[in-house]
Amino acid sequence: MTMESTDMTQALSAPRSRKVSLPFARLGYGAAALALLAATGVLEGYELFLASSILSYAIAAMGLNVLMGYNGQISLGHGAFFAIGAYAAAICIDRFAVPFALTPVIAGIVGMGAGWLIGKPALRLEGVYLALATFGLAIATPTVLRSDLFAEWTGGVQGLFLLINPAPEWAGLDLDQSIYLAVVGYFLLFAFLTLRLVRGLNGKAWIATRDNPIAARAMGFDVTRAKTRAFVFSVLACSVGGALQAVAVQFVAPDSFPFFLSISLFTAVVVGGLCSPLVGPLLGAVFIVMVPNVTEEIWQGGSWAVYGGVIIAIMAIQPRGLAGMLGWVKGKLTTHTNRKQQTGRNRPC
Amino acid sequence: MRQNGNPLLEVRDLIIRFGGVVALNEISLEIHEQEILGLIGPNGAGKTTLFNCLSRLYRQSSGDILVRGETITPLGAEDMAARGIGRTFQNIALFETMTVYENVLTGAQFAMNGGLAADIFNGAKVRRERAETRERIMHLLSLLDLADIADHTIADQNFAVRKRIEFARALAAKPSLLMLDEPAGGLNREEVRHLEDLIRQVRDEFKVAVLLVEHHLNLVMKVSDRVVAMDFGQKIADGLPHEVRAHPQVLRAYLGEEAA
Repeated sequence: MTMESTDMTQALSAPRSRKVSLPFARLGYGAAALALLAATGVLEGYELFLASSILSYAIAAMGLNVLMGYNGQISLGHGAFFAIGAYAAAICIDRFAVPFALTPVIAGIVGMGAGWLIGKPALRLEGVYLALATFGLAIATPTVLRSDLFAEWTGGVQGLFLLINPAPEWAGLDLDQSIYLAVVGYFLLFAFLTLRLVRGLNGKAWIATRDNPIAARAMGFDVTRAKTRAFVFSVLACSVGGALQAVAVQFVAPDSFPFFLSISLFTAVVVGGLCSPLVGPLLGAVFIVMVPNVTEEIWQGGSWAVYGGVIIAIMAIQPRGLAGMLGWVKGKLTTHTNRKQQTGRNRPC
Repeated sequence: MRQNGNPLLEVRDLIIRFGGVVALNEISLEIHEQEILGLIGPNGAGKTTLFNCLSRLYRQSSGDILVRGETITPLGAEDMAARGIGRTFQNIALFETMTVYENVLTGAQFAMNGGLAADIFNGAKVRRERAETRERIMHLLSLLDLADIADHTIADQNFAVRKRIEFARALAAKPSLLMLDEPAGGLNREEVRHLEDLIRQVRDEFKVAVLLVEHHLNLVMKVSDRVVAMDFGQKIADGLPHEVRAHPQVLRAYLGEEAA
């Protein structure tokens, strides 16, 4: 089932949906969370690594979706913040032997600092101008990471191998399981934060600013603050995602963060479905991690042509992405399609 | 109608220049509590310019604007809701992807706790505040005959309904002055008659003053307590509706030279 079919913060949504569907929505969220946790015992080795990888990209995509979907600002450079988070975590582990599960917290703080510094001037730009400015960040990132200037900390071209300790023995978890559980924990935290924010007044401020900035100001929304919050939240999510990705791979190097990573995150958000707060980013993350492997099998050497074709096909069929398709299928399967259309549940945001 | 001497809104010698063009030339006017003031004038008279200046979307070149005796000149558009000044837009500026209910909620939010922590922790106090607001908004929606479509998107609504939603959104802020920018524009005769009742009803029930900028002279003359007429950026008449209607300069502005 679609996890976000009903609103959580009751008072801010229209009253009708509340009484009927809220318990079911809660149940759905709970079941999904339990399934993610239970997977620790079911999946093994490489599967756990893939799942960790997907979930860490999903965290980044959740944040970027708030910025692009809800607030309508386009960024082609959030891979830079993913890299900052990854390197912050790597340095924490390499230099200060910080327990790996805590590194996303530090990475998040570092990332938010960087995001605030970059966001202040960048947020004066809009639309394609912001997109290009952030893209500049993405292009510069690998070179900065490779530079001799910071090589003492970053390991330069070679990067850093990370020695990660599993959870204490009494927990009975191997390394892959420990990492996966930590990733799931952060994923659930960000799912919760994202839902609460987009369903709350901050979500209204983001959508109002996107839909009609002049009317938003006339209603008393602080447009600049709304944009800054969306940007900083997206940066936080991307740096935490990056930290978890570094932990899962147990290695960081400049070549892991090419500008294409930023395009991949952008792809995850749009292909997953803008303004679908959880399911979209999750499906988008599955897409960018798994589909390139699958297309490689379909046509060796031409896999990017297949990948590109699939993206074009998805956008042509359903601009609201995979989450939009899922919603459409669900609408077909239930008898309430008409009512749902009437009540505006199928609206873009 | 007057309270403590200060008018609700006072405009003093307002001048706005765009480049070399003087859009408003020393406009002065007053609006008192619970008064309906009609603002008329032919196209290009400066009505909308004045309106946008009052909601702080434009800045004046000189002059002052006071709300209950206090200047609002240094404030921005986002501060007006808290000062009790609400508005609708000539071309309708609703949030297209939100539901009717959510649109009206945006009118009320400035007085609510919209912090990150409030959304994330959603504590008892925040929940209570939001539940109270919901009740108030639902009441407002039923008064304006919008309760049945509270859950619908804006995209499904026709022009007249959208105008009512904008009304509701402005009222959700509990304004003391409601500024309506050409509310009759695009409405048919029957809808205009409804609007007439609505404006009076809103004034009486919500105890607001209304600044009505309107082309539709009949509507203005019927509902206004007082009318101000403008032409070429200047105030040419200010008085009771029948006085302004008969004012020679107003006749000239509307009907041309011979009529005067």
